[in-house]
Amino acid sequence: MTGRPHVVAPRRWRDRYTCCARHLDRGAFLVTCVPTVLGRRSVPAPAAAVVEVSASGARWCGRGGGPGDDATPRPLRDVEPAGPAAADRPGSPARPRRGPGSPAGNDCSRHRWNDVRVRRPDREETIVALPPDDVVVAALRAGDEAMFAALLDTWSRGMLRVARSYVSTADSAEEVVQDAWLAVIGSIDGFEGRSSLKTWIFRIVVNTAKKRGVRESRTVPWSTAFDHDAAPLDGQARADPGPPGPWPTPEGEALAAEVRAEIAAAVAGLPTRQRDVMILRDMEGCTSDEVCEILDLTPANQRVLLHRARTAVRGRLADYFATVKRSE
Amino acid sequence: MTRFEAVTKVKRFSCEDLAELTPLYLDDALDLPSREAADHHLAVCETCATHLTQLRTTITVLSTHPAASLSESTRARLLAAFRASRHS
Repeated sequence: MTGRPHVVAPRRWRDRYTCCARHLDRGAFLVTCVPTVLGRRSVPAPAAAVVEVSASGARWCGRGGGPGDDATPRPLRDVEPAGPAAADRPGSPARPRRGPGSPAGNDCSRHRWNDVRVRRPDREETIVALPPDDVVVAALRAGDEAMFAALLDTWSRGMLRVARSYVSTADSAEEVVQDAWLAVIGSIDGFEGRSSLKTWIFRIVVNTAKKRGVRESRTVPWSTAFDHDAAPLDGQARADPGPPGPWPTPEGEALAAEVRAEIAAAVAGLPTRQRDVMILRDMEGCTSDEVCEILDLTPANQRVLLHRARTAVRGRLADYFATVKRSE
Repeated sequence: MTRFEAVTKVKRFSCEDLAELTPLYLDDALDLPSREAADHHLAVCETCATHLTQLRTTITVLSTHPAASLSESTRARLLAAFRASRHS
């Protein structure tokens, strides 16, 4: 059985990669960026080949033989080794130019990729893409337990995060996700493929979580999820805390942990719709099309909500870094 | 808008213009002229460049934010439910 190649990339590249992945030929490559701790081994059997994006660029790890360099997705071919040292390594192949047929909009230029340079390339974090929906759905209908397990392992974290946005406790969110998966199991035979499997499943989660949330009559979800003081954030008022100064690089583990806590609190304090969009886009790596479908938003609306959320979270981080700087 | 203002507006890409285009810029969804105008502005305006870098840092930190996974018991229960549904 031949499937389209799967793309495996370091998790921290997800955002940029998802952006570039939009330009891939969907007929030739399947790109559903999902975080996983399982790595390449969890790629289901129908994968024809695996494109692994490591810190030093893309390479084929063929299952049934890689189709060669020419078949590497263009955005991956444009990925240069992360650091200047690696880029200057003697003997590294010249960077292929984009072909003349390549639309100008496909520009994933060098500086954009460098912005997400991998700091610690030794760490194994990967994104694994699932096979195409028709393959997944057929496998599920045929009772392929491994495929179901792969879905569980790829999407449950994101589903938990989304569910947590509506309900009061982590246990409650887990029950929501469980109910959603039971609904998926019960209705997979009726799945018509009008939307992607992923958006279909996430819509089920959102609806299940909403019902549950109404039952719990919760008004301020998420903020109790973290020990951190999560004062509700007024997106407009806090949006711009003065002119931006350069931030320290959150290199140290302690600082990184504090930054994460700050981010969690900031996300918790966002209005529900902004938070949902941000969770799906920036934390789960969904495309804007997927988010629009899952949350019933227009593209323009989605973009505004996302931008407000990002601006608010950036503002919160800026405040935090300002405090850090003062205390130094 | 007077003719003069219109010309000025086309010629000079302001910080407000960039702010307006930032979501599309980050989505890599700008057409080439707008993209080039934005890049040009970013090259000369340190405030906007820093702001954008910070937005990107925010997005990067968000994308690496750890998430809880499904408990082993729930996972096992769901796998059993799947198995049962296919054998019924």
